[in-house]
Amino acid sequence: MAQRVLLHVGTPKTGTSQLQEVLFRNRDRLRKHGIHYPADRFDAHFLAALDLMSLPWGGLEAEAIGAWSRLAAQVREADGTAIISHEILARATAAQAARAIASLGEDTEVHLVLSVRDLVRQIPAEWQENVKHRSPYSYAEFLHSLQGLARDEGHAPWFWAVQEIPDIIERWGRGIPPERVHLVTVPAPGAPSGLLWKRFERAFGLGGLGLDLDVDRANPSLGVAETTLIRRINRATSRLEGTDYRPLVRELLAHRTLARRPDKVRLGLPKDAYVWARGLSDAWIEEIRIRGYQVVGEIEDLRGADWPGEFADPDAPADEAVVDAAVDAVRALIGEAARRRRHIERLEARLAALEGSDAVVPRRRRAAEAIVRGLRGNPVGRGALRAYRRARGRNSLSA
Amino acid sequence: MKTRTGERRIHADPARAAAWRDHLRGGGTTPWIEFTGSNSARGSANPGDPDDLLPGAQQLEFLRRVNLAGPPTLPLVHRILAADAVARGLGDLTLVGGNERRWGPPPVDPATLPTNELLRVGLGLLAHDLATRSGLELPPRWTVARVRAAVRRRLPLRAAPPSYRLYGDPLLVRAVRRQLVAAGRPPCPAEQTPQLVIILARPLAQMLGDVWRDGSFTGNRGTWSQWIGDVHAKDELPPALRLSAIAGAWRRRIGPAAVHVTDDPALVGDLLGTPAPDLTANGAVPSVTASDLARRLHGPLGLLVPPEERVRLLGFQLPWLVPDTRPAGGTPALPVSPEVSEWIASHAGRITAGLLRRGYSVDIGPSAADTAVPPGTPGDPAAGGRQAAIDQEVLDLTVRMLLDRTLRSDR
Repeated sequence: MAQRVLLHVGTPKTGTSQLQEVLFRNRDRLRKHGIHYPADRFDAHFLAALDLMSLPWGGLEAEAIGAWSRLAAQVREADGTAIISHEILARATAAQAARAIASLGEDTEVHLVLSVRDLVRQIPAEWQENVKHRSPYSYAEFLHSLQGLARDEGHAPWFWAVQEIPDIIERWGRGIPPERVHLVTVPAPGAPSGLLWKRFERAFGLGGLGLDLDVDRANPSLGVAETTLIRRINRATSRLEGTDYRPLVRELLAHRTLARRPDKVRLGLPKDAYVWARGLSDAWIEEIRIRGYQVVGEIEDLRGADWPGEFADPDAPADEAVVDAAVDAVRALIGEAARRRRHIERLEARLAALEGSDAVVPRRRRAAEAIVRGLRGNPVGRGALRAYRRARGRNSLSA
Repeated sequence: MKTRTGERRIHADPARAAAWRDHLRGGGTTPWIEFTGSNSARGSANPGDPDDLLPGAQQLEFLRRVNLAGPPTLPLVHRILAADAVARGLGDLTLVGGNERRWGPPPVDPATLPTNELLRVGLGLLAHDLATRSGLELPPRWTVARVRAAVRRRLPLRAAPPSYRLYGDPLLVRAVRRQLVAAGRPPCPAEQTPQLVIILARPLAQMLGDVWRDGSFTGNRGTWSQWIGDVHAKDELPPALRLSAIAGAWRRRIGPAAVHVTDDPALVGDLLGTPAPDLTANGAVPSVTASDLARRLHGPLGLLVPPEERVRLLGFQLPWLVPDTRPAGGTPALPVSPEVSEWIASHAGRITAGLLRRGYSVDIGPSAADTAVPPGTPGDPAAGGRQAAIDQEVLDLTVRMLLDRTLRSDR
């Protein structure tokens, strides 16, 4: 049984994908150091989280059936330290969290880890993520829903479930002493690159293990004009199947093209929302201090940067900036269309070459067809054919 | 009351909340707001103690509704209190003036929770019951029917009856076929060509409702108004209702004399030499509410079983388990807007004309006009009031099914 489990339950948009990729890629090396990351696929803990929380996720839940039980069994069988990590676990109810912790073994020392980032960055990032998932809400509507006291409109239930730090710790931390609750703060803007990883290393005990850190799971943000463009594309492609939207709009346009544009204007908060978000952050920081949780990094990072003095509104963008982004999008789509055209030409050439050759398979098929015709001509033959097909199974089609 | 900074000033009475939980556990039905009991022993417990965890307001209120319809067995009570509210929605909520917390979603009066929040609890439990019933036998004995049919085919004393296949209104087809199967006359196997094709028609408005209801068990996820709205927007009838095209295709294949289109199911008996199907008996097809329940079960059941098993359970087992059924002969047309009603009437006219050209005097219009509901009235499928009424009916049916011993896994 694992003596110690590091249970990393959130929050989204805090470098979790990079952490999980490093853990997954280095799981053999980690095992040699007594650290277990039980996963047979990179998203194994995501599926386990869906299973634990009875959460449908666009059909993926079918792959998730029983995933938490399997993960918990692997943790119980591990010797040393085990790590479980997925950010959507932040959404678990107190009952689900209690079930999850109980499933890890009676005498296991459970540490709760929460990576956290200031609301001044989290709120715009979450809206942009929703836009990339075809959400129709404007930025103003999104902000309004978050500020509603009932928290039951639009994205508010999900957002607060995975972002309200004191509430997440209350749900997950029942029975866990404060010294075993670790908050990893995402460094403030302008901090040296690699600082967040240093903090993860400290929280998870990964320093000095020679891990391969060469992973590219960074999820660069869209700018103001780029997000507006995606929203307009969403409206124009509302009937596009999800299986086409994901590779073409989210991956090709949003991630591989628009997020990589230089000189993007970063999305922030309007002044009134900024003041409100800072007020929340102040209250959370005070609560964290009172409760005595372990903070890896600077608790002040959670307060967010100062108001920049201006706000670029994605609901009323400068048209010229959106047009520039649109030109880049068209260029990417033309490049993709050209690449596929060349691919089709290569396939057509191979097909033509095959059709020109006297391949063995057609001759064999012609012979089979002749035999079947012969058998169908008399009752004994038909009986033999039926018996053959029964023996071969239902996939045996008429020749 | 929430402050501007998100931290809530709370008015907690955890002893009262724990006492209400115990009251409900014992079969109580008093709403939370009216409840005055207290449990000082539990209330003094440490709020951080995992053993002191109260279920959410959703689970507690759902148990109260079950108690009102009950009584439930003790195992069912325990299952409800331990259940998740499945799928997306609000987290487990606290009771206003009860187990309030300083953080998290605001506390609620559970009596005012949206019906959908209670359904998240009930449907999860029902899905679990259904998933654990996967070994249930199907009522019609297909094997027995096939043996009977095979024996009859081989009896030398009389000519073999014609093989057949049924098309048209899916609920009517299902009900008639079931009676024929029970009488030892299963339809022609898929790999063989039938000697007779019989297409059962009804007014198009009614058939559209029947296609949605039938599909609710096999794949539809949308409400009736969403589904009919999509059909209308695409301007395309479901394949099962392209009666004229179906008739045309079979006429070319087996000859015009072997293809029959009728709005009188009694003709099936005449053509096949069997008694006329009895479509007046109750229990033939699930009610509209049962269909709506079925479509809502796809999600929760998908969390428990693979997709192919889900389709099998909902399509083949749930229709036999659902207690809310109607005679197959009297399924109602579902309400539509005047615009959709006009569209249905126009399609019905075209299909009727197409059938007439092929020599079938069957009129599948125009009763669509009867189903048109003026916008904003209680029957308007797009009106919120109607949806709320449907939600309540589905909740009531869910509670009845959970209390039904034939289905429950804790029986």
